[in-house]
Amino acid sequence: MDLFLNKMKTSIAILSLLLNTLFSFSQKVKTDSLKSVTISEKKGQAPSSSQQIDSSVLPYYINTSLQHLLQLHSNVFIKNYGVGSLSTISIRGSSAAQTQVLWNGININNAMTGLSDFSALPVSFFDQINIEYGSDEKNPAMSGSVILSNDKPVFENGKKINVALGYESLQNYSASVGICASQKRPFNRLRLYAGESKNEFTFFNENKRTKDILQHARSKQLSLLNDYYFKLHTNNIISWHVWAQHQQREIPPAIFEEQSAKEETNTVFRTLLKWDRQRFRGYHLTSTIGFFFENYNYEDSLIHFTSNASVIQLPFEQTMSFAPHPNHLFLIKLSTNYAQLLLQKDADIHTAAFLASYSMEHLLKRINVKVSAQKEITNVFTVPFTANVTMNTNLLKGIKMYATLSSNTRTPTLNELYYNPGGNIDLKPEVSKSIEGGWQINKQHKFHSVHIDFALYNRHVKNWIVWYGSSILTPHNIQKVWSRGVEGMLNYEVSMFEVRGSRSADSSQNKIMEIKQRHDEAPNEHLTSHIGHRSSKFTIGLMYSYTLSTTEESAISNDYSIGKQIPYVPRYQLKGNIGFKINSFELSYLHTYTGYRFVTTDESQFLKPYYSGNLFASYKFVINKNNFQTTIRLNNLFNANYESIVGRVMPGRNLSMGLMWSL
Amino acid sequence: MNRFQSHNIVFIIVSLFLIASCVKDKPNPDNFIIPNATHHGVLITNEGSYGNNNAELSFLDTETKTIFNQLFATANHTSAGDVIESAYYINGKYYITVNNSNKIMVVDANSYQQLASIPSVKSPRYITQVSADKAYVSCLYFPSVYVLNLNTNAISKTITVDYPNTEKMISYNGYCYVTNWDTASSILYKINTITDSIETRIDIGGRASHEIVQDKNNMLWILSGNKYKNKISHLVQYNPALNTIVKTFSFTADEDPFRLIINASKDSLYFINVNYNGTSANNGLYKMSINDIAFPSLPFIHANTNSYFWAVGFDSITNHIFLSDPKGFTQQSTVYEYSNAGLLLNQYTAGIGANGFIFK
Repeated sequence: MDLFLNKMKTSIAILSLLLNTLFSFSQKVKTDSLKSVTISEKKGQAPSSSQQIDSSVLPYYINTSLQHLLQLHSNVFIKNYGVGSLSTISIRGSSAAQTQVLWNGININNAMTGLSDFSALPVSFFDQINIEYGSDEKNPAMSGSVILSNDKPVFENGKKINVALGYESLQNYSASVGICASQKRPFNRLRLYAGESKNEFTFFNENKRTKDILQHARSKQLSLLNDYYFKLHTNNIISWHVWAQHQQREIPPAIFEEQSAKEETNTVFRTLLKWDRQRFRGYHLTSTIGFFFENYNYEDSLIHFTSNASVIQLPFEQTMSFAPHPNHLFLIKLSTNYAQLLLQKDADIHTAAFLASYSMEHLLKRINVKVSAQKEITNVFTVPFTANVTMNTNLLKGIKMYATLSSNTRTPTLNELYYNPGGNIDLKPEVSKSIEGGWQINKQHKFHSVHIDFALYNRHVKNWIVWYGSSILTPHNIQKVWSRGVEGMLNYEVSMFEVRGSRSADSSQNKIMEIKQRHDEAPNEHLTSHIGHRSSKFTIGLMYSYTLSTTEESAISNDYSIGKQIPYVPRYQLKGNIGFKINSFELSYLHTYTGYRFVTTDESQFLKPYYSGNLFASYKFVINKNNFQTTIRLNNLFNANYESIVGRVMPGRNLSMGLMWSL
Repeated sequence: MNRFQSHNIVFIIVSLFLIASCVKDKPNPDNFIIPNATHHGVLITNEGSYGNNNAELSFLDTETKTIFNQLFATANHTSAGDVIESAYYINGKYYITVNNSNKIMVVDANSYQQLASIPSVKSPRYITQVSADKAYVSCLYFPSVYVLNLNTNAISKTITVDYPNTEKMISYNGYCYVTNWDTASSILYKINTITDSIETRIDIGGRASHEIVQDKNNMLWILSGNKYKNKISHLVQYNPALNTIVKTFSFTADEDPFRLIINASKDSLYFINVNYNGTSANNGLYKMSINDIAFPSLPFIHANTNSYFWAVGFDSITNHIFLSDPKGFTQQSTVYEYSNAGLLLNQYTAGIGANGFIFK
């Protein structure tokens, strides 16, 4: 009976919340009249090779996809199959399937292909975008994770609305809406995104030696993300997350093709039910169960070819963490997944994994240690035992160092096992052993701050899966690949704040400290402060990655790829930015260099490096308690003519504009 | 100097040192040259990897045992296109079908300079000269055979057949016999080369015919089948004079034979059995006499483990056999030169996806 009453209460709460959301436009909304000051990425936490994308950058990309954001503001490499087309990720010379994309802690990579298409992930759907470049003891992945997350719910009566409109000179239009409504128990956050793109631009076609116009590159996308939370008790929250998306796009002709009639349609539905509870101090349980469906349709009317495939996934995850002492944390995670190709008999994978982790802080006062081990079993192949040991320390003042030793696996995908024709049911998981280390320097001196991240890594992967064949491709565990390299990030910032009625530097500094303290307490919130009225900031940054990812052994006789770089992994990427902010106005410039990318495994063919200059400007203003922000992004300022992959030319100089309104 | 300017700077310097210890980014590609036109050798067509616009031509000088790669780009300073399917030597010129670029290129056989390009030919596959001024071109995806005027280098006519995917052809006695690599088709078309019309539809039994050669007795040998669409392969001996099927050899469902050729004396057949699973079963070059009554049980030349052959050619001057290993089309091919007895003599590095040999 109690259970029934609880269900009734929950249902009523959901209904009331939805109604509130619907009528929220017509109600007078309480707003904070203060201007916001956004604290940039959270730094100085336990060092590891991770990055949180600077929240001040997100508004420039609010009407576009993660592809553009990550390519310019991180050390990952985005392999872009042309404007508006598939975009996959490569971290430290990995294949895309070796990197996890986590949403609410669950990997959303397509179970068929093992990939996530970053051109289909709207930036506006997420409040935080984190990149783990190495292995994380809680989410072991061969080559890092991209973690998509949102602010934690605040169970207070209130509503927030924001609307963003975007225009790009490639004749692309988009709109996104966010509605957030909460009461004492329920909290709902709805986000919608709609985009229509023509992706039309002129370019010099080096193959035809003439100016050309990219055609047949239209796309449409409609996406919805809804997070509903219900607080059962303090520290006992149940949540329901839904992500639905439909995308249609034309695939333009490569520069050497006369025309194209290729089209693809992708429909995605993901839902998760999550129960997060803390039974008593230090004891925390999280249960997540989900259902994912993806349908992919490809059509080429020129050759009367159609292909259609659907996949479902049923992920489940149970996490229990226990901290008997502030310096000790035990974590146990049981995760299972059922993935099946629809319309193909017996084409499925069942996996179950058990992970145990232990963290100890302040060992010998300054050393923190994390140890984890995982065993996974499947119905198809045997997965070896994996483990991870991380140690970090701040032995020297202002310098934090870390080292990680880990082994990881990447299990074959449904396509690799069952694709017809060509799938290989005898595939084994890819297995890696890696070591990495690095250091962080954080220095704060009155108005100056310096942050330096540096990481070195070394990873060996055996059983690397390569699709091999001709018209019929078959995946094989053929190669051993050695990836090693360095990554560096540098940020230097000079901040100047002026508090109303006081121009004293000391009081400004106190205010900064106050804000930073508040930010540390609630890192996911955009803090507000009186000091936002007059502030200026100068920043300079540098990101560098050197990636050597070479084939070391191969089962192919006379393999010319031995010792050669993996295709489409640039050895060098360099990004430098400079910018300033005066009150509500921001201007910054970002210059990038992307080095040679090899098309073939033996380095016999390559794409030339390219530079791109990008200018960013934004202005925030308030009209009648309505907050506005306008953004302008001038991309490829110097009109560089370059290809991301062979035959897929990228746009020259182009403009993106955005207008955001929030209440 | 405070602490920031001491140990922190040390770390920065170490970081810069590690960054500086990196390999040179700029590749150092080979210098390519055009070979001596008077030497005997083999033109190798490299189809490239699909979608990468990297089809090319190589020439293997069998006198000096030297291979010359990137001939088209060296001579023309542009790419040959996407997927060279085949090339034919006609009147001192190579006619080259570039399948995914929908064009036929005409290239000078000595300088490799492009003389003409015939655009908008949908998915051209193979060419056969049927008269002094006419050639037929087969095509993928469409039920067509194009008629190419060799004087004007233009498509003068299109012959419509019953099914898409016309493949290899052979011209004999005023007719062109056209295979049809469509799983619904078991037809060999007999086309009158004067009227350009189908005169007879020959039912060869097996579906999806794709190869055809002629032996010393003027018998036609036709190879058919598509393993991945569950059409078992067959080798059929057909007598064009009597319009009868003389012999039919059936392969097993696991076999995937293609690239049927015949030697200079036209009494031995060679074909490649290909296996993409990396095992040695049904993987290699097979040889059989035109008088054999069964397939050979073992390959004449085994493919290496995790390898397969993609092209075969028979040099009528040296009697050597040439085979290519395309290595998954992700890197340059290896071309092997074998003696007539099957002994490996030499190996060379050709372009990506070496798929054909033309001896000159």
